[in-house]
Amino acid sequence: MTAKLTDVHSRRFKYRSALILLAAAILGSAVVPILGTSYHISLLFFLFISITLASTYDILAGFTGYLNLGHVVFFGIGAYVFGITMQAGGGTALALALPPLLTVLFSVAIAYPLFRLRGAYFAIATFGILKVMEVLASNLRDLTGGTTGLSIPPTSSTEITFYMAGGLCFAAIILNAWIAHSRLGLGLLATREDEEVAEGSGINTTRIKIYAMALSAILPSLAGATYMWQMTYIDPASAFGSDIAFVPVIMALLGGSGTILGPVIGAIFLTVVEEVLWSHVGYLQLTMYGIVLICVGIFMPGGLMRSSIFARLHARIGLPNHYGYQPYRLFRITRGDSNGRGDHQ
Amino acid sequence: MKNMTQKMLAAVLVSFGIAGVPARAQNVIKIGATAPITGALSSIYSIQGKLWDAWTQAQNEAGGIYVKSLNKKLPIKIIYYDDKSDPKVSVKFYERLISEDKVDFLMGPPGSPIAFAASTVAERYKFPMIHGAASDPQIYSRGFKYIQGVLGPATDWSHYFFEMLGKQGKVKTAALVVEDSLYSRGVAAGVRQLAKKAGIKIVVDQTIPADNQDFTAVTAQIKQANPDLVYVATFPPFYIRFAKQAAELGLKPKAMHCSTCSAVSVRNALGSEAEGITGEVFWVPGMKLGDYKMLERALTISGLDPVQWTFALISIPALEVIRAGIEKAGTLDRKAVYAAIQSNEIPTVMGTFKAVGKGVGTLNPLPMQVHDGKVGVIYPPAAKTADYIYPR
Repeated sequence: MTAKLTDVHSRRFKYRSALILLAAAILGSAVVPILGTSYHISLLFFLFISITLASTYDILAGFTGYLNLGHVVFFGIGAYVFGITMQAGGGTALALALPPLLTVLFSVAIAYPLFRLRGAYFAIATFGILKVMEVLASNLRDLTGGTTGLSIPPTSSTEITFYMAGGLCFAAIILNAWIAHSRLGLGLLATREDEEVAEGSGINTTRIKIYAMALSAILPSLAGATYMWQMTYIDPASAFGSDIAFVPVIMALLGGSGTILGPVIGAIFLTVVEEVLWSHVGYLQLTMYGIVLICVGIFMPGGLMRSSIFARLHARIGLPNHYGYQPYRLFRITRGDSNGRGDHQ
Repeated sequence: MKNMTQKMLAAVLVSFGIAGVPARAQNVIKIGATAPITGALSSIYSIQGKLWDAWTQAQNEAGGIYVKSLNKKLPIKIIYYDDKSDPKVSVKFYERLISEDKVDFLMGPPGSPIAFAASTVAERYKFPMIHGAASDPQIYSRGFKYIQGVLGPATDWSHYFFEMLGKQGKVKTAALVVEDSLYSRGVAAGVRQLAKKAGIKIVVDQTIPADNQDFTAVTAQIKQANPDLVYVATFPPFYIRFAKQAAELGLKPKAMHCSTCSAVSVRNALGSEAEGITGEVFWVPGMKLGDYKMLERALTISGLDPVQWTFALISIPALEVIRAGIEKAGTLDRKAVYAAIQSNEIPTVMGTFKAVGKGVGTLNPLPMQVHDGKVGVIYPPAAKTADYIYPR
């Protein structure tokens, strides 16, 4: 009884710590436009977009093990829908309302055929969807501007888009945490562990996977709209290109797929490394960037969050370890699958 | 009383802070830019930074740029970052150049898609940006007030080439193959008009995706039409794929033109197949326009072969325009310098620059032909370094 009460108190304390950390991050971000320079605003804006994409990518990949390599398709659709609506004189409110609506419909429409596939086949099919969208964006010239791209008048201030991107970023983190605590999250985890057994236990796996796909589509579409609002220009390569497609995947894997803060840490880590290399190293930045990624992959195969330092922090601030991982020592190579899951004992 | 003294002291300090502290004397002119040193456009711009460093050294060896209001020459410093051929990276670094590096002037990034995005930063902060290699008409059609290109619009890219063909009157028909990209479509739009003006009929006109690998169908179509000239509006990687397949399929037109084929990658990849092809170039040794000695000195310092890196050279007139703007305005005040740039004719190593409105300049690349693996300018007579050989 006493032990149970202690657990409850301890958990409350941990959740309070997590909330304090989140509030501090939100407050810290909120003052950047006041205290920082336009460069800081720009840097954080792109970081927020990256975190949003990486965190929402991990809703499907982290909870169900389905690798959606075409996740940025939602971002691209959001950017184009925003741009087209603005060009047509629809106004900002409509241009922001349409992307999530359309991407949810789109995600549900593609989810049915896609979820008939599993493993590598699912991953390749999602990547195929992305390429189809790139071709469509290149060829529907009257609507998208084709390869020439689509542009809208520039904004006079970057603060609105900054706060929007920040809001989306924190919403993505909270959404991940909410799923981890929800029945949906439990169902998704059961699906990941053994889909047939989950079905046998009464879980409608197809339905919850579609829910997860639809949930993972909303925030990226708004991130795309915000990106378009800030950048005022989008072309097929920036929206659906292979370069951008792998960024959220790499960030999530590097940070630790299947943990709430993993994609966040991955996005911050990659942004910082890129920023340092590109700002301060004259040559061979790409080589050094590659070496950093290889080193993290070799020495921290489950991602940064599963290194002992981050795992302790994760536990300390009360965020759930929803795969039942045992944190393992830094630099210790363990057996595991492509998501870093496996025997870490 | 003590409180009163404190207030007076504070007032003195504040007033001193506002008016009394002399501004820190400026001892260097900082110019900021990004360049696609890596990424998709690196095949023609990877050495851009090296060229800028060398031109800076050459300019500073000459004492720098004279600023009349300071009555002295100031050295220059070009602060640049690799934008990875990515518009969003370029935008981020231009924000940095303005707010962190506190540059005095901005030079636009090479490459139309990157310049398109980066120019929004200039407009947002009302910070003039002088563009070198960015000629797509869309960049200048948005009504932006703080961007100025040195080039004419992409539609004028082959202006001199078609003027020459029109005068010679030998070429009667042409096939137009267009890579589906911002720059190439702009060039092709101009070619259609320029060809008509020169009395040349376009018998094949195909726009093809930039990542296309199979050119069999278009090659067969061109062979059947048998035009005198095949004009390919494209960047080098696309042209190399096209030219190799066209040669294998036996397509040998009397004239083959590629808008960016002065690039070394084309000659290296195609070898003898590149012999006799024409294209556009900005500068070759032997052209004695403007302050060409400064450019020659910069090339000596860098060790770069100008014929190897023809497109990176277009940033030099952009720098010369900024330099002339400072000298003519006699101050480092951005507004005054920008006004001087827009209201004066400025000689450059590639001809005379003049702002003709809406951010468009007057410099156009010159037609060249490959002879024995070397590039020679074939027109106009004032800049000519070699004769045009037709058929090739």
